[in-house]
Amino acid sequence: MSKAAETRLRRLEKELRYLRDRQDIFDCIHRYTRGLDRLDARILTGVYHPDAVDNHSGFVGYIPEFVKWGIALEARYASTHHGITTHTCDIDGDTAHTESYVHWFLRLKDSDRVRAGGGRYVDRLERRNGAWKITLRRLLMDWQLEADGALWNANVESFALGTRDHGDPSYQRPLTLPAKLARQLAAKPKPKPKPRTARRK
Amino acid sequence: MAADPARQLQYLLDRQAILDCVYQYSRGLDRHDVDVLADAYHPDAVDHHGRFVGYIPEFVQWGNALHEADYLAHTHNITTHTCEIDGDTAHAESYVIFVLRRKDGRTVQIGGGRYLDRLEKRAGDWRIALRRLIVDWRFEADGTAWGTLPGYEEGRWDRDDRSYQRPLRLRPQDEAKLAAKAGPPGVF
Repeated sequence: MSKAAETRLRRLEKELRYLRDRQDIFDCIHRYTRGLDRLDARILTGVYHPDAVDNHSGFVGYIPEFVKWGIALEARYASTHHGITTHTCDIDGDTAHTESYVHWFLRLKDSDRVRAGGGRYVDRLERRNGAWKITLRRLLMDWQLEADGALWNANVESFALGTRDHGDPSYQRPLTLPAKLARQLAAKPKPKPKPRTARRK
Repeated sequence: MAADPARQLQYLLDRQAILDCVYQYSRGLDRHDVDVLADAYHPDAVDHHGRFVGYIPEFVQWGNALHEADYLAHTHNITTHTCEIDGDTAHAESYVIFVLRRKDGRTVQIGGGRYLDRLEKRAGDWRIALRRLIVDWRFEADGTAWGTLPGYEEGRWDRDDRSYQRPLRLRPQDEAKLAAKAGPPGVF
């Protein structure tokens, strides 16, 4: 291999490594909200290194305690939904610093009220044995509101509801329709396949 | 991390293509564009949305009719996204925040849920094979602040929406406003 080709290959490998790091870090942040919303201690614990620290409003401590505290806090609501939006990330070797905007929506139990809020997860992550995980997380809060959620309890559209255990369809592999819906589908004619052009690149 | 750059690169391309497909659905739905919407699915794909379960030609008509009946405008925002790829099959969960402006002009409906997708890569293209929508929460809020920000262009449900324009330009009235202003200093 020529010197120039070697240099080019090394640069490509470095760029590829950067993209993979960005993706892995982003996945880690997203896994956290998934674990929290499903009250899944295994998923939640898996996004932190064993010696990591979390600081959430009044709480500061290590992860085994944080996971118990966080799940107890979220379990007080009928359901929770945490969405990650704006995300910035600086990588310096095996350390990364990220800021991830989050908005959450909490349904109050035995009530028509919905509580919403927004804030930012500020994280220091480290890559150890090839895996990016959080070593320090701080939650900063920006806004909160409460609104009328009567619309929800009526559910005139019959939307499917999630659960906070492994029965939630997000755990199912492969994803299938429940038997009742599969029967509904069986009554419908299958569309005839039409030739289609490949998606424009 | 696997050391083989070609495999890593393919993984990243797959991840990007899957996220693009999930985003494309939202865009097609919010523009009421049946071509963009249907293109996010394989021809034999199935969608389950509330009372609806069925194939895509029927689904895209049902979806647009539902949104046209009660609303003036809506956005479906994709947030948290997780994705597992196993060969030519992928499982993705994509959180969505939907916001719909009611025809009464006074209320806005806000809701959140999750699109659960089984995607398949066929002939090099990732598309949805099965989608199930789970809704987590909804509320209605006072939307009367709408209209207090004059001058903003509203979106459309046809190809005249500004997002289709190539290259993107200003509206003629804005071009005129701009022409009356002194150019920026420096390179211009």
